[in-house]
Amino acid sequence: MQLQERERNEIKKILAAMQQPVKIVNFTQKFECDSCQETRELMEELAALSDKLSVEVHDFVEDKDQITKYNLDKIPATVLIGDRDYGIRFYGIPSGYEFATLLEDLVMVSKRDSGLADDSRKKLTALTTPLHLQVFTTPLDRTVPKPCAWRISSRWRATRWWRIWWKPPSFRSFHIVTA
Amino acid sequence: MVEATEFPQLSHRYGVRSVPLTVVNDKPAVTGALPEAHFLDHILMAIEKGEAT
Repeated sequence: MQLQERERNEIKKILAAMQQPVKIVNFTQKFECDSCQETRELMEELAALSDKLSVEVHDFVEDKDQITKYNLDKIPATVLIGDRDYGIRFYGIPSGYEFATLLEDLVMVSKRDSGLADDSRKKLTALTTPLHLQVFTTPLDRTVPKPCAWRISSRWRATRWWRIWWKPPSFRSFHIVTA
Repeated sequence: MVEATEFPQLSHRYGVRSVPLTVVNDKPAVTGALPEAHFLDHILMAIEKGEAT
């Protein structure tokens, strides 16, 4: 069990903002690495917290067609799918501050709206070549303000806690999807 | 999102020293968290730079 009762209740409140269905596609393998197992369990538990969420688990070794479909090269990998694939990928366990990013992204994908400013959208529409962004983070990254932070990785389970962080509205998610 | 400690080879390849580090089209480009408009400008600059080389 990755999420505690109190955490589940808080997450339910955040996921209540979801508007349309989102599918979480998780990739692991038969002999799961530490964080593969944690990530899969986390996604399965998360999916149970909202009727708008579903989860699909694939094997990185056996499900070659799915690997090609989502263009993945490493696990644990988690893909968020709305009415289409927005290109959002989480590699490694989204724990600590990144768990807040995951929740935010779930709500964002469910709204089918990145929440980006009009000016940003205009600039992005002008792009003529594909844009690939990789944001490297660690579970304890304190430089990114988040609305809430969850410490759920087993590495930190001994000191599990959560707190609410204020976040200026200009700090939206890092995931930019080209139009 | 890439969890830097879980993929040390990738972190090494891009020279991740502090997080968040944003890699734009395979080249390290933006360090730290920036407001959206500022962040996007850095990304666009990195794209231009990448296309020029």
